[in-house]
Amino acid sequence: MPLPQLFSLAYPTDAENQEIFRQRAFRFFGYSIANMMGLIYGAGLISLVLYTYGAEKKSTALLFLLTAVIAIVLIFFLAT
Amino acid sequence: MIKNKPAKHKLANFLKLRVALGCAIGLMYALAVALLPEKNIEQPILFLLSIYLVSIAIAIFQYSVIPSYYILFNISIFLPLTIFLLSKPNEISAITILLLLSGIILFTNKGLKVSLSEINSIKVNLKLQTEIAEHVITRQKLSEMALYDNLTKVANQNMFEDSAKSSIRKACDNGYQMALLVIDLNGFKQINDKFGHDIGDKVLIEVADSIRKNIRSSDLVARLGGDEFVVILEHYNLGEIKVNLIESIQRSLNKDIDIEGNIVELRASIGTSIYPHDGDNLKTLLQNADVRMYDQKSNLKPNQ
Repeated sequence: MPLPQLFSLAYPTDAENQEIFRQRAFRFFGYSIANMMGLIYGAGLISLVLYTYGAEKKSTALLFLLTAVIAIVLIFFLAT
Repeated sequence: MIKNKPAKHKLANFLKLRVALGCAIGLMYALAVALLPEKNIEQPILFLLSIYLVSIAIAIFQYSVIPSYYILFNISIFLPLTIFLLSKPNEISAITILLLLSGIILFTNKGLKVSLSEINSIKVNLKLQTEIAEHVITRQKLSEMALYDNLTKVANQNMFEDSAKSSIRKACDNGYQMALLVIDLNGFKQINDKFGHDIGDKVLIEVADSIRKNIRSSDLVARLGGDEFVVILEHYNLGEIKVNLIESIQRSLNKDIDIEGNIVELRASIGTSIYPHDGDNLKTLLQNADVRMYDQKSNLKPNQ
C-alpha cells in the first residue's frame, strides 16, 4: 500500500480500498477499549508523578479527569 | 468490540475526530509538563517521559492500524516539549530531546509495521472471502446442474428417482397412497418442425410452469427428457385429489397457448399409477403409468 494512502484518513473512492479502509477502521475501533484503558492507566501514573514533583493538585486532577472523559467518550460514543 | 457499525460516509469523520481528540490529549500532557514548577523541572521530566512513552505509547500505538493516529499523537507531545526544552538549554534537556526522539522513531516504526501487517491480513481475508463466495456459488451451480433440468428448471431424472423412492418409503411407512403421473406431449415433433426448436423449448418451459402451478408444494414435477414429464403426488387421496389435481393438470395441458405470437396447439397424454394398487416399487409404477399414457395416446387421432 502506498504511503499517502496508508496515512490518509479520507474515504477512498475505489471499491477495493473502500473495503480495506472499512476493515481497518473497524479493527481500529475494535482495539479502542484496550487502548483507552491504557490511556487512563498512563494518565493516572503521570498525574501521580506530576503531583509528586510539585504540580498543583487541582491542575493534576483536572488533567486526569479530562483524559479519562475523552477516553470514555471514545470507548462508548464514537463507533465502538 | 463494535456494537453499531457506522455508515460508510461517517467512518472517515469518526476517524478524523478520534485523531483530533488523541492529539488534544497529547498536547494536554505536554502543557502539564511545561507548567511544572521551575525548580523541579529536570528530574521529573526524564522520569515522566520514560513512563509516558512506555505505558501510554505502547498501549495506544502497538495495535493501532491507523498510522496517522499515533504519528500525530507523538508529534503533539514532541513538538511543544522540544520547544520548551530548547528554551532551557542544558545537558538534561538535550538527553531528554534525544530520548523523546528515539522513542517516537521506535514507536512509529513499530506502528507502521503493525499497520502494514494488519492491512495485509485484511487483504488476505478479503481474498479468502471472495474465494469462498465463488466456491459456494460454484457448488450451488453444480448441485443445481446435478438435480435440476437446465431448460425448464424442474427436477431432473436423478432428483426424481431419489424423491420417488423416498415418497414410496414414506407412503409405505405411513400407510397412505401416492400417485405417479407420466405426461407426454402429443405432436411435439410437429411443433418443433413447424415453429422451430426455440419455440419448442419455450413450449416445454410453459408446460413445466403449468404443471408446477397446478401441484402442491409437497409434490414434485420432473422432466425425464424430451417432452416427457413425471409428477409425484404425495398423500394421494382418490376422492378429493384425483379430481382436483389430475384434472387441473390435464386441463392446463390441453389448450392453445401463445408463444411469441405463434398459437401452439398443446395436447398431452397422461398415465397414472397409484401406490400401492399398481405396484410397490418405482420401476413397476413407472411401467404401469407408461402403459396407460401410451394407451391414451394410441386412442387419439393420427394427426394429434
